[in-house]
Amino acid sequence: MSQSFSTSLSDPTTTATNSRNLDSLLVAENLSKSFGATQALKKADLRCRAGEVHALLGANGAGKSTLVRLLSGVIRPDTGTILLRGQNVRFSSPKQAAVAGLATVFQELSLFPHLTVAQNILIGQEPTSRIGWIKEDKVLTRAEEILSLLGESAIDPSAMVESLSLGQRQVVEIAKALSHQPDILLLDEATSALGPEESARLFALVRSLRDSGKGIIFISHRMEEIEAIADRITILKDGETVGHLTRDQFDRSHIFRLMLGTELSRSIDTNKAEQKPSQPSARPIIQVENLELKRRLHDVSFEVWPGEILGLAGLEGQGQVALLHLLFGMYRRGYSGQVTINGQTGLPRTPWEATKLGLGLIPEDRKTQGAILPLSVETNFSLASLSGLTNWLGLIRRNREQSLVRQLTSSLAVKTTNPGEPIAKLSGGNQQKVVIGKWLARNPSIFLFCDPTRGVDIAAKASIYDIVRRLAADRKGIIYYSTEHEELVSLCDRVLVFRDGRISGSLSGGELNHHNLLALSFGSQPKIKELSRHLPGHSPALRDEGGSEAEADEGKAE
Amino acid sequence: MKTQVRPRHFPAISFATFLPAIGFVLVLLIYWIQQPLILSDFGIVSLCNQSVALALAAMAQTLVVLTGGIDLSVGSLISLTTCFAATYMGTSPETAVPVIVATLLLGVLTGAVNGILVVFGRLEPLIVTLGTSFVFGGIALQIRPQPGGSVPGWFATMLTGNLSFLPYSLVLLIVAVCLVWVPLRKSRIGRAIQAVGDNEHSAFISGLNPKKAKLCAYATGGLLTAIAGLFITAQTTSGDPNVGDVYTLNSIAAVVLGGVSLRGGRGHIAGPILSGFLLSTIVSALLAWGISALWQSLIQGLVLLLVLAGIGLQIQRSESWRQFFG
Repeated sequence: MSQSFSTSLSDPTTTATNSRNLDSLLVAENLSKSFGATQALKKADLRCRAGEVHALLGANGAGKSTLVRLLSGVIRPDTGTILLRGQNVRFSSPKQAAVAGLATVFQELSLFPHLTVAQNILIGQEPTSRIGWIKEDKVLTRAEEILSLLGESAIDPSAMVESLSLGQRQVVEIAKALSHQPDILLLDEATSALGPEESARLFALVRSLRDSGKGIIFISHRMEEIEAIADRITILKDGETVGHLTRDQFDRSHIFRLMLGTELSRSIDTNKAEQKPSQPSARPIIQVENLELKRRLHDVSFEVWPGEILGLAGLEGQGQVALLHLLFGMYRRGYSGQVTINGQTGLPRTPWEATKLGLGLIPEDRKTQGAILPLSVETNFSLASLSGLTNWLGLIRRNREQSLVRQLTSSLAVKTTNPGEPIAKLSGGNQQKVVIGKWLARNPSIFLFCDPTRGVDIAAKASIYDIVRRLAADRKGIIYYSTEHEELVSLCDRVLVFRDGRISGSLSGGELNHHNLLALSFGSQPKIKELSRHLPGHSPALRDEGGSEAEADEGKAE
Repeated sequence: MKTQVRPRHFPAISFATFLPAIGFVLVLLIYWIQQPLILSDFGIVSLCNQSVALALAAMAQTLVVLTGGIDLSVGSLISLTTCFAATYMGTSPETAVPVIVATLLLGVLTGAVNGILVVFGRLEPLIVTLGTSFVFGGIALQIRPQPGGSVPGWFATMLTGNLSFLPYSLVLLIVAVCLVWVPLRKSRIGRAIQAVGDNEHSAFISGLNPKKAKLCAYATGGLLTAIAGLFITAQTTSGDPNVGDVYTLNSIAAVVLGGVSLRGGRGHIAGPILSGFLLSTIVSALLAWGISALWQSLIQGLVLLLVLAGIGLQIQRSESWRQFFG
């Protein structure tokens, strides 16, 4: 069993046949698809050759996810043709696509939390005995083989998927797609939850699949990943294919121009020099000392000043999310430490207590925690500030709600034709803007961002950065957790790097760079002249300027 | 680092599955103190005969609940099948055997009707089965407006008799588990039923056929319900258009007590079966202690709430609000 599987991934005969008709592994031509009045895809073309990694790029609402769903058989095109190995195909279900040799790693993950890892990987294609009973031991060994192809040994194939972290689940999702032994692997944001190490292993696998003559369609919002791995790029804009680039034509500014036109490209290349100097302030808006959370956080101390953007970095799952949840009152017990938020001591014990303290959380999972998908854009906007919108009977005043929504929609540039439509109809980036807008309506003094640009396209990212900067200029306190180092470097005044639930270092100024973030994440020494100065508790310039004042103030207060 | 883990053919048996087992033993103990005869062969037979129908109905309910649905037509389908069987069975094997087969087919068919309405009608299981429960009940009344009918003696003995300590009713239950439940759980379609209940969209984009899985769950649920109906026919040697009524809510109670999540996707069959025994035995134990039958439903309800509170206590210990709200 193990042999047949591994050989099939690098079968020499397949390579030979595929290289003979280089162009014809997958050809999608003139695809179009409308949903009601919206034309999601107009004239999209995509050609993926055998033995290449083909990146698909596009801004907000360019039609990437529609194209992915068309190719993988989730939905059917209105017009256009899809040729697989020169043959016209029309998938009516994802299963048909998988059988035909096109497997998809879905961005939204397609796993079953209450089945085991192995059962998930082989779902629907379990080895069975003659009477149709699933051979569980075979399922387990095959799952193990596939996981080992990915170089993954930390995931127990008999563990329940619900016990895995998001990154591990993504690995399982990839393994599940590989189990179909596809000729074409469609990776839709497959690295969004992976740590650097897992990503590196995935890339090694992608390269070996490519070298064995498979085609890989790769979608990512991380430019550096595309530059590292793609052989060609297809660029979508407003549902149309606007460019095919080969490797020697990769040039960020050119790509951005194709994707967005010129006006937006500037703000992507965010510039350190543009950033406002952090202003000294009377006292920190959040002060945390010796914070402990069972199994998750140890000896965490830091403070956030008004107008400061404090970044949280490190490998995924090192306690950053737990810290934000803890500050937002999501934990009921198991913690200790001194915390002062907006002058009040003690952590909030529930999220509603947290909102009263002036906190707002933009959670990591937009679909299940941030937005309420079936509800309208309007309702999602006003959800966190309903108490300010009601009359004396407790009924919602529609005109006030509507004017609030109008104001937020325009100030956040949310692309929606009708605020009464369900938020599920918006693209990911626009949904995220609404989630942020929900808190803006309540006007909290502290914003906790939990990876807000995950799975969001470049244009929406730029506007989210813009919103965050505006909040900082407005003297809000901001804690910003992100899995993308580039973003932290360009956006944050100071970044705390987490490792095993502890702060392994704090970076700011010129020392806040990609290299140092990576070094601290992996527990090695960053390139810093005097490291001790930047360890938690002995924090940077901000404190030197504002500290004495704060102490004086406190003295007065007492 | 890596430990060799035995493959799990079934989902892990959780604390919630053990609860009804513990409860059953406790109730049995209380019963035994008042009525030591319960551990005689006669006692065990009557205990099993009282419990097997609910255990079978709970199995049927479990299947539907696993897909994330609920079946409110279990009770009236039991009534319908008893009326059908008792009216047409006659006395000779020549007529009885085809009627038994027809009754089982009737179960599959009515279950499939539920399934078709849910799957292709895109309707809520709660509403569909509420509707069909009136229809099934109505048909039962048409067949047999008054309780009555008859069954062959050998049929009654075959299902309710005993071989010293071994009641045939228990054999029936074991056969149903081995011939219906186990093959289903071990096949791909059974895996698909659980997957659909866990996450229907994932099931679809994983290449499973959610429609087929749900249809199969409802139809097999109908079959198990028909078996329960046949057993009650043998037990009461008659058909009664109202006999099944209590089984609808009791089967749901047994499923919940047995640790099957009403959200679908997880649960073990042992829990609902044991809960069926527990809920049925409480009734007899109360009678043995001379407590009026009028107290039965009150006490059954309190037991259910008590156990649910126990499960709730586990949740109360959760560390974060996210676990708390599931």
